Amino acid sequence: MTSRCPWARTALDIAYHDTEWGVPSRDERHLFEMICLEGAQAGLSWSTILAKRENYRRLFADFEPAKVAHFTPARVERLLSDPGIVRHRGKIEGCIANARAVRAFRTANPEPGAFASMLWAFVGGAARSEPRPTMKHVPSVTPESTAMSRALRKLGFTFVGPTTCYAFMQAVGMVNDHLDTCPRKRACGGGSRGAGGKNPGAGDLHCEPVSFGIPSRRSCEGCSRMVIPDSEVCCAGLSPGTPRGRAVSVTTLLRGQCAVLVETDLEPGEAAMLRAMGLRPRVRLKLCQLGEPCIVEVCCGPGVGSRIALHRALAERVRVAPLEPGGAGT
Amino acid sequence: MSPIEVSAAPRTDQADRDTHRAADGARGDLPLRVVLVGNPNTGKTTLFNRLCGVRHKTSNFPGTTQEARRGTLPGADRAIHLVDLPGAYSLELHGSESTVVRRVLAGDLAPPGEPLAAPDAVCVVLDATNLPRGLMVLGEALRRRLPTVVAINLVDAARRRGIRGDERRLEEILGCPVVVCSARTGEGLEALRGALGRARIPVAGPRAGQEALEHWADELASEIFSGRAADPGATLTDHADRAFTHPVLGLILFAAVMTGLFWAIFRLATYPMDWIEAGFGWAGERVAGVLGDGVLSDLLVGGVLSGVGATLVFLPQICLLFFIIALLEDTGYLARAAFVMDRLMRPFGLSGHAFVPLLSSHACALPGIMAARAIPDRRDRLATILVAPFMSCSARIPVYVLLVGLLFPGRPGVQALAFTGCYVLGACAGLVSALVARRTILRGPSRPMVMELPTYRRPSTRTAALTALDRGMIFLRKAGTVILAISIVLWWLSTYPRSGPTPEAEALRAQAAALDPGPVDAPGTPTDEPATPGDLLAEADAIDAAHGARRTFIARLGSAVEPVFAPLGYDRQLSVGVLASFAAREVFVSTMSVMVTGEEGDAAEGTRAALAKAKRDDGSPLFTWAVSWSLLVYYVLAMQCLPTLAVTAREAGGAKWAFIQLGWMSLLAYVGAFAVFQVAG
Repeated sequence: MTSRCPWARTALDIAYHDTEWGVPSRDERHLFEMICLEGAQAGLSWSTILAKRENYRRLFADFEPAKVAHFTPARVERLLSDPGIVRHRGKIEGCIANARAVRAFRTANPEPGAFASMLWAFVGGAARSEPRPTMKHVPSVTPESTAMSRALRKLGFTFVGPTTCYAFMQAVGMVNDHLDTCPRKRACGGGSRGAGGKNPGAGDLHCEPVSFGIPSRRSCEGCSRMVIPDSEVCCAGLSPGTPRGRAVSVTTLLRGQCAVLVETDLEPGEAAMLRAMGLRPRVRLKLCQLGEPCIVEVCCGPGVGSRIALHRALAERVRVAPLEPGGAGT
Repeated sequence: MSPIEVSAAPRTDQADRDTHRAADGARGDLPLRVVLVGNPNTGKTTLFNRLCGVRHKTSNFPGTTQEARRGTLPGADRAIHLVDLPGAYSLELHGSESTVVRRVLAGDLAPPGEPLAAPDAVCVVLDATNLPRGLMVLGEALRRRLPTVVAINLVDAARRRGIRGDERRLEEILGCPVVVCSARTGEGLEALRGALGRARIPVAGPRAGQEALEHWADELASEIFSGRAADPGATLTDHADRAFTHPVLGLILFAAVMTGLFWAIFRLATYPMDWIEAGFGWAGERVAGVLGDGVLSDLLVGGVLSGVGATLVFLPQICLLFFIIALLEDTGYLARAAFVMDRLMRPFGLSGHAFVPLLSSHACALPGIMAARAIPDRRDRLATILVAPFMSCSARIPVYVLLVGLLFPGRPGVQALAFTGCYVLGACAGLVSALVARRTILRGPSRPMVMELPTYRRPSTRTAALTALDRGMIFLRKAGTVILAISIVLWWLSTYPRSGPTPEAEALRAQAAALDPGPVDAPGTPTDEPATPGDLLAEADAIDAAHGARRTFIARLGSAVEPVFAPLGYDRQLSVGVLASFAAREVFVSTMSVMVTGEEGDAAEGTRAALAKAKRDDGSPLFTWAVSWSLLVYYVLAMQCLPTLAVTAREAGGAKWAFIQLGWMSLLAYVGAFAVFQVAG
């Protein structure tokens, strides 16, 4: 059964969903526009922004960063009196600050496409597609979006929280978050409409699975550039027979699905606690319940294993390599 | 690589001598000091209870909030002192459980009464159904190079699930005794008791580092144990978990369980409570009878017996509450309920861990605050401690009963509703206060909850009974010290200075004496005579008592503070009642009864009828609609318990927190009662 993602309801939404949302984009003007629009959306519905989008394009010089960077305080006052856009001083000044941050970044990194590459580096350079059986499986924040938020703030961007950044990643196709039932899931897949599409397998785990029992921290030659900021997916060892796949959050598993734990992206104290409770790398686990709490069963050898209930916020930061759906494993 | 070779210590002569140290040293004189180490939910405490029975003491490790349970059992050739250490997932974490275990094993922490030295032996308790994780703790313990015994517990459950282990092979590899046992059925306990005296320093252990430890545990597990988790109950467990943590169904089940719990506490506990009350009444009469009238008798009856008795009455409720909580915990339900509560309490800045402490606070805030130790996050813990006294404890019940009875005489349905309302008001005030605290003095992110869900099991009534007994003893000890002292001080304040008989009373006594010579039912006595000599004497005593009560220290104090409480509608007498409640809330009923009628009374009908007719000094009725409401709200919200403040200061780590608690609750109670008085008036 296939059907459009359920959030697209109005005609504008549907047009946007069917033509733009989730299509990988490396066009820097488009990327800048989406950063600004996602920032303007904060606290409002996306439909509101879509309805005002043409006004935004008209009033913000078609989101050319070089032009927006030159906006004067007088122009801000004019924008504030225009009902065609969201009249929020912080958000409007934020767009201008963002344009100036882009300008500063380009001055420091003059090679063409540097801004897009910088943004795409947060997903390892290529679009990622993870199974999304239902809307419940779509996160609102990920470690990558948190890292992006942090990096953008450091560069001088505003209105770029982790949630906004994740929405941005979805919109520009860094992550393919169409539901599995949506025809666009396949269409957006791993393609790229911008320039310089990288090696399509770049998001895959590109370590050979290491055998059980050998220390797992085997270094991967030449892959350091591909390591996701704040994570080390490519360096995690997997037990034999594990299909090569991407490390995903445990919350994207289906109920009853088994997976091999890759890593936990938590502060050290918390990670050590989970590790002592049995959630350690290379351990096989089964998702028993999705929701609040998430319940996983950990089996690290003979025995029934232990059931561990995690607050969803924690579960989202436990990254695993999924095994066959519903498969009981060996 | 076989685990035997992994960093196996060569068995030199030196090692052999060390090995026998435990068995040989100071035989017969000093007890063998053994500590129990293991993961949570491995049945460690059940094993401890099974080995030591009631011969144990519960106290705290010095300078920590972790409980140390210590017991003795006869060993093969010398007595064994067994210490149950808190369950820990690892010995190398920063949590307070791990720290305590680590320090005890290193010999720089010992339970009170034990010498400060490394234990003579370590007994590592493993869960036979979940060995690989247990082996991690075993590995960490082996690194300490202390004489060790391994107890593989829950072997009955493992057998049912088809998990087999070769304990002889494990013994061979480790070089120390390995015993399979089941604390539930009693299997293998004799062997374990014998093995404790034969503890050996292990010859194998993991190398340094977490990776090496995990690797060692995996290798060992695959070497020793076979049979894989084809757990027949897994789907059933899944279904049960889903139901118990479901957003709607879970809440309904939770409400049902809690209703049953409170029904048991307030219904079943009434019988033993009646016996205790009767027992103290009887003892009071006996003491008064033996000692006659006098200061000593008055002190014993009016101070010690009535004060301690009024507190001990709540012992059955406390024991029952902890008995049921222990049963629920043993079944595995409480861990699930904690997640249901987490969802409810998270918006108020409390975590699901706060659920058991707040539940316990409904019996008494003292054990509730002590139970808050189990909350891992500091801010969560402090917030829980601060709001625990808002939960309506059983000391408030007599006051609620009295005031609700005065408000709605003869309407039991409305009374029950108002009674429930008091509980709801208290709980809501607690939640809102937690929110306020988390937004101001305890600002910061709250830690998302993670918890192991233990296997569903049939609960052990034995363990639950021992837990209840334990809690009861802690409470008794408190009643014997703090509450006793407060009772005596209060008695002194409310008795001295003594005043002589009043002229009115003297006149009545003279009248009674004049009547006395003739028998009461003598033919010459007019039939419409309104008062017998007995009645007259009683009236005289009442007048004296009421007069005396007005002149005591506490009454003077009452007059002094009356202006403070005047906006709430309280007169001099009520101010005294409220002040006296500071020692223990339930004292309010007896204090009011003494002041109004001159007789000790309880919440029974007679007292209530007398109080309903009570008058202010100017003759207007005392318990008006508005005043009763104001009092009710005041008692729900006010902090009126010295022992709780003392425990808050100790558990929260500073008198500052106790003052914050007192200040906030008093403010809330005052404002609340004022508002209610103004509106209802």
